[in-house]
Amino acid sequence: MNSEIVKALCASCEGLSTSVSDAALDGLAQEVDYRAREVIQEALKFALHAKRTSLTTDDVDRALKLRGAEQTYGHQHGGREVFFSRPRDDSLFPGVSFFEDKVESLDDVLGSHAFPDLPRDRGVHLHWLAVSGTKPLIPENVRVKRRRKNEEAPGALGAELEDGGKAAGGGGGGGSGGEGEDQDWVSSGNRATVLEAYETNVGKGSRHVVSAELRSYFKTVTEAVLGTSSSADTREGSQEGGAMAGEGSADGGGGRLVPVLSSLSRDPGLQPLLPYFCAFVLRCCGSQGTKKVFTSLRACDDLLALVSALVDNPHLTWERHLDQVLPVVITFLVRKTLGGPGEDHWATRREAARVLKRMCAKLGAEGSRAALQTRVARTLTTGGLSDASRALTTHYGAVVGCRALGDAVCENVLLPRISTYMPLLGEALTPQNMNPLQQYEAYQVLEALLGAVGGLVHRSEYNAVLGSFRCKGRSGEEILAAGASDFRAPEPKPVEEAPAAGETAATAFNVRPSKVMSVKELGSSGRGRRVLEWFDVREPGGGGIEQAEGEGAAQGLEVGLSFDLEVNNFALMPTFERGNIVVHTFDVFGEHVLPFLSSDLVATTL
Amino acid sequence: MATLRSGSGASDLDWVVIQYLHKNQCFEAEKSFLKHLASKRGVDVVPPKQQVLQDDYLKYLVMSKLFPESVEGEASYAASFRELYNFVVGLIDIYREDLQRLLYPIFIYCLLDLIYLQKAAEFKEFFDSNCALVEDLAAPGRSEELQQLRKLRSEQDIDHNPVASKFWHSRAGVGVSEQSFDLLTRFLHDHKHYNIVRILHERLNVQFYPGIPVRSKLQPISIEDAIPVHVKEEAAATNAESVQLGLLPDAPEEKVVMTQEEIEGCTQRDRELLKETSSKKAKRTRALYFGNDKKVKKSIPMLDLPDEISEKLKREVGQRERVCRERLPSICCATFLNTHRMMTAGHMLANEVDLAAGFEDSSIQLRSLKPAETRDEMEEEMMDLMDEDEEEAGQAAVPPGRSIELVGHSGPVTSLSSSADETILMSSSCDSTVRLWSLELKKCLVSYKSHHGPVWGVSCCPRQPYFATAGWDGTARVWSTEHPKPLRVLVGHLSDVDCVCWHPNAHYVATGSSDCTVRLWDVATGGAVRVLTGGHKHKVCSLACSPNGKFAASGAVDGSIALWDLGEARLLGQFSAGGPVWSLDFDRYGSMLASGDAGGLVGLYDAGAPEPCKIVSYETKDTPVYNVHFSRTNLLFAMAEFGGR
Repeated sequence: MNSEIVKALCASCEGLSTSVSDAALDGLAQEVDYRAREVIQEALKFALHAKRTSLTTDDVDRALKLRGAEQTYGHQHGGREVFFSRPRDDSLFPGVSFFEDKVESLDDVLGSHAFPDLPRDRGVHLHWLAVSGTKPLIPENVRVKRRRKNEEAPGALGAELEDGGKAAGGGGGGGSGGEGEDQDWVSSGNRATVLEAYETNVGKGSRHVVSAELRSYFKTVTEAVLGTSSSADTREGSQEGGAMAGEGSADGGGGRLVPVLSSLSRDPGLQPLLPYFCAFVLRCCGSQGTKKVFTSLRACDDLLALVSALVDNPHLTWERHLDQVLPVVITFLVRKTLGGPGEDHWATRREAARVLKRMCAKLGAEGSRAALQTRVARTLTTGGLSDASRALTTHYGAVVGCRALGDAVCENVLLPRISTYMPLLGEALTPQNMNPLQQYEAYQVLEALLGAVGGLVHRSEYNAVLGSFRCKGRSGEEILAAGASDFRAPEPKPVEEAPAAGETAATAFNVRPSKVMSVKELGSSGRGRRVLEWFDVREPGGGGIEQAEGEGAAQGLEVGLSFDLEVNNFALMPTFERGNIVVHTFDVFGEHVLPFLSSDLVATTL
Repeated sequence: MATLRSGSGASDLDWVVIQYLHKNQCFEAEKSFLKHLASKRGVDVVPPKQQVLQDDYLKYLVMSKLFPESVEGEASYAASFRELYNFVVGLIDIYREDLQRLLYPIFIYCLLDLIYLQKAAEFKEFFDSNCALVEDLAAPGRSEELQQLRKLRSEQDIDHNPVASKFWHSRAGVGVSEQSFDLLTRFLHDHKHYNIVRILHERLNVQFYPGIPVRSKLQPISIEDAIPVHVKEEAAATNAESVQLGLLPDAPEEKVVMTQEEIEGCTQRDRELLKETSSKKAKRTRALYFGNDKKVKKSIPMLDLPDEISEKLKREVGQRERVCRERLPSICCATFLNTHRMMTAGHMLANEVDLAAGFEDSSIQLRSLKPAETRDEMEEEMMDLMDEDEEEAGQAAVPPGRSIELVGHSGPVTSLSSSADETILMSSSCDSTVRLWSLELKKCLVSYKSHHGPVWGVSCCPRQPYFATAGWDGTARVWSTEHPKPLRVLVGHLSDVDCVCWHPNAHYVATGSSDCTVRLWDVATGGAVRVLTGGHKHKVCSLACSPNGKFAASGAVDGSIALWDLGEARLLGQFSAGGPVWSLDFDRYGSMLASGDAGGLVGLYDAGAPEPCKIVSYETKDTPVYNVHFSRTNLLFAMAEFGGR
C-alpha cells in the first residue's frame, strides 16, 4: 500500500479528492497498510487452524469480524481460491491477480435441465498405509494414474486366470463352466473400481481392508486349490452345472491351478491377502480338515504348491506370518502317513523340504534366518530323528529336511546323531525283519541319510579330491580298465557313496552322457528317477567313481525295478554293512583322520 | 514522516547545525560546513532537504547536548521504555518480531545512559522493573550480560565492566525493515520519547532493508566485535524449577508384564533404562515406561477411571505390540471423501472404534470404523478364517457403518478431543466456545464461554473432569467440566496459543504458541514451569507428550519437529516433515514418534534412540494427514482428507 493507492481511493470518494495533503496521504497509506496486514495476519490464523495452506475470503471475513469490522460481501468463497504461490504472468497488470467471472444469462441457467448432480455424501475409506513397516502395493498407496474407468483394472491379476480358464476350456469338459466363472470374476473386478472399493466396510484395528477385487481373487485361488484336490467333489460339480461333474471339473480345476500358482508367485499386490492365505492353509490342515487333506496326496501337493508359490513371490513379506505356515510345512515333511497306500509320498516330503529351504532363504533375506533355521533344525531332530518311537517316514522327513537346510545343519545336527541312529535303522534293515514295508521305508531313510551325509562329505572334500580325480579318471573307459582296485582313493567320497550303490551307482551311468546305460531303462524305475534327483545336485565328477561299481549298480537297478523281497534282501545286506562303515568313517572323520584312511577300508567296502 | 538515517555518518549535532543554517537560509555557511564535514571526516552528507528533523526533537537534542541534566523527560527512561515495550509487544506478529530485537540493546543503552548521568537510584529501579521483560527477549547466550550490568554503580565502572564497555564504545548492529522502523520512529516521536530516539540514532547501527520484515533476516543483534557469544543453555529461571514428571500411581498400564521376547525387542537405550529400573525386583515385570519409575503424588482432585474402562485398558495393554526401529508399526489410514476441503479437524475417539471429524461448516461428524452389518458372504468367510475373538466391548458410539452429525457450533471446528471414559467429546470452534457433547445422547450438553476470540485447541485430561483449551487471546485455560468458568487461566505466551496437550500425569499442561515457544504449565499453581525455546522458527501447531511423561514433541508450520526433554528443558532432536505438521503422537511405549503433515506424509521418528532421528515416511496420495494416533495396541491410525490442499 503506497500513497498512490490511497490517493486513488480518496479520489474515488466524493469531496475528498482535493482536501487531503500529501503528508496525510503518506501517513494514511502507512496506516492502511498496517491495518491490512493486521487483517491478513488474523485471516492466516484462521486458514492455519482450518488446516489449509490457502487463504479464502471466509478467513478474511472472520478476521474482519474478529476486529469488529464489517465483513466483505459479494466475494464469497466459491471453491476457487488464490494460492499464494500463484504465478503472475500477466503483463497488463503486473502484480495483480484476478478472477475471470463468466457472465451467464439467467435464461440459460433456467432453461437447461442439466442441473448438476447432488454432491455425494461424505464418506470414509480405510486402507493400510503400512503393514509392519512395509507399504502394501494396493491401489490406494501406489502413485499411479487413478484407475477409475480402467477396463484393465483387474488385468494384471486377471489375465493369467483368464488364460488359465480358457486353456481349461479347450482341454477339459468342464471348460465352459470354468470360463464362465472367470468372466464373472473379471466383471466383478471391473465393478470394483477404486471408488467402489472406498465403500468397502472395514473392521476395526487388526482387521485388514480387503477390496472386492482381492476378495474374488482369493476365492478363485482357494477354489482352484480345493477344486483339484477334491477331484469328484459334489460341490464343484454342482457349481459347474452338475453335468460336468467328475473328471471334467477336476481337469478344469487342474488347468486353472497352474496359472493361479504362477500368478501367486509373481503378483505384487498380494500382501493384504497373505494372512488369509495363511489362515486358509491352516484351516485346510486344521482339526476339521485333517483327514481330508492328508489322505489325499494330491491335496497335499496342491497346498504345498500354494505355499511354495507364495514363498516364491518376491513382493511378499513373510516375517509375521511364517509362524502360521511353518508347522504345516513341517507336518507335510514329517507326518507319519501322507496320502493313500501306495502313493508316492516321498516326493511330497522332498518337496516340503525344498519349500522349507526356500522359506529359510527368504527369511534370511528378511534378516532372521539363523534363528529360524536353528529352530527348525531343532524341531526336526528332537521331534523326529532322535525319537526312536516315531515312524520311519517321520525320520525320513527329518533327514530330508535337515539336508535341505544346508551343509551346516547337516554337519552340526545330523552327523552327531548318526552313530546312535544307525543301529536303530539297522534293526529295521536286517533280513530277520519280515515286514517288507518297514524295510522299504528303512531303506528310504538310509538313502536319504546317505544322500545328506554323502553330499556333505562330497562337498567338503570335493576340492581336495578333485585334483586326484583329474589325474586318475581320464575317461570312463580308462577307469573301468584300471579296475576297482585302482581306486585306492585317499578320498572318502567313494566310501560314502558306495553304500548308496544300490541305486546311486546306477544313476551315475545316467548322469554321464557317455555311458551305455540307456536312460529309458532307468526311467522306467520310479526310484531310479528319484535317485537321479539326488545326483543332479552333485558335481558330475562324482559320477566317475560309481562307474567303477558296475556290479553295485546292477544290483541297485534290480532293486529299483523289482520289488522282489529276496532281491531286496540280497541288495540290502551289503548296503547295510557299508552303511555301518559310513558311520565309522564319520566318527573318524570327526577326528580329521579321514584323508589317511587306508585302502583296506575301501577294499572291504567294495 | 521524517527519519534520521544514522547510517549516513554525520552526528546529530552536525545535523542540527546544518538544519539551523539551512532554515535561516545561510546557504554559503551551510555549503562550507558540509565541505568541512566531508573533508574532515570523510563523510558524504546528504543535502538537508530530505533530512528534516522535527523541531521538538531538535530542541531536545540541543538541550541534551548542552545541558544534559536539565532536559525534561530524562527522568522518564523507565516510563519510556515501558511504553515502548508495550507498543512493540502489541504490534502484529511480523513487525513485533522485527522490532523486539531492538528492545534489548535499547534497554542496555538506557542503563548506560543512566549510569553516565549518575542516577544510580533510577538505574536500580529501572533495572529491576524492566529486567524481566528483556530477559525473555535477549538472544540466547546474552542473558548473562544483564547480570554483569547489574553490578554497575558509577561512570568509572563502565570501562571496567567488559559488557558495559563493549556496548558503550561501540554500536549495536541490527538489521530491520524500513517499514517497521518507520512504525517505531513514528510512535516514538508521537509520544515524545526523544531519549529513546536518540539512543536509536546515536547508539544503534541500524541497517535498513526495504519493504516488510523478512523472516530470514531476523538475525539477533550484534555488537561490533563485541562480547564473545557465550553459547550456553538458556538458563531461564523458570526452567530451573523442578517438575514432577512421574506417572499417576494408579495408571492402568502400570502392572503389565513384559515377556522376555518383548524385552529383547527393546532398543539399546530402552534396555539400559530397563536395567536401571528393574534390577532389584522381578526382572520381567514393569518397565513399560522405561526410566520413569517415579510416581507423582496427586495434588489435584481427580476422578478415577471407571472400572470397566481400566479393565479394558489393561486387556489392551496386554495385546500391545512393541514398536521400534526394527519393528515398525502398521498404519491404517482413514481417508475422508467428498468433504470438499471442508475438513478442519480429525480425532479418534477414546474407544478407538469411532472417528470424529470437524468441518468448516461448524458440524462434527462421528463415524464408525466397524463394518456395516451387511457385509457380504465372502467377507464373512474371510473374517471367519481369521477366527478373531469377537468379544469387543460394545462401546461403539456410532452404529457400524453409519455416521452421526453433531450440529451446534457457529464457526469452523478447530479441534476435537474425547475423554478417557469414552462418554464425552469436546470440541473447540472459531465461535469462541468449547462444547461438550455426550457420546451416549449424541447431543451437546454444555457450551463453555470464556475465551476472547476463537479457541484454537482443546484437550481432555487423562483423568476426569478436567480439560484445557488454547485460544487466540494468547491464553490457555484449564477447566473442569463441572464449572462454567475456567479454573485456571494460563497467561504468558506472547501470541496465540495454537495447541494444547496434557501431560500423562494430569498435573501439567503443555501449550504451543505462535511465538514459536512451547510452555509447560503447572495446573495446580497456574504458573509456567518450562519455557522451551529455540526449537522452532515458526508457529507451533501441534504437540504431543510421551506416555512415559518424560518427553514432548512439537511441530511447527514450517515443517520442523522438535523433541524435548521436559525434565531438563532440553532440545533432544529436530526433524523435518513435508509441510505444516498437523499432528504428532508418541507410541504407547514412548519410543517412537509419528507425525502427519500437510504434505501428505506420515513420518515415523525414533524418539527412544540416544540420537533421535527420522526412520521413514509414508506417502499418501497427496491427502494431507490431519491426525495420527497410536491405538492402545500400538496400531497407528492416520486421518486424511481426500482432495487436499
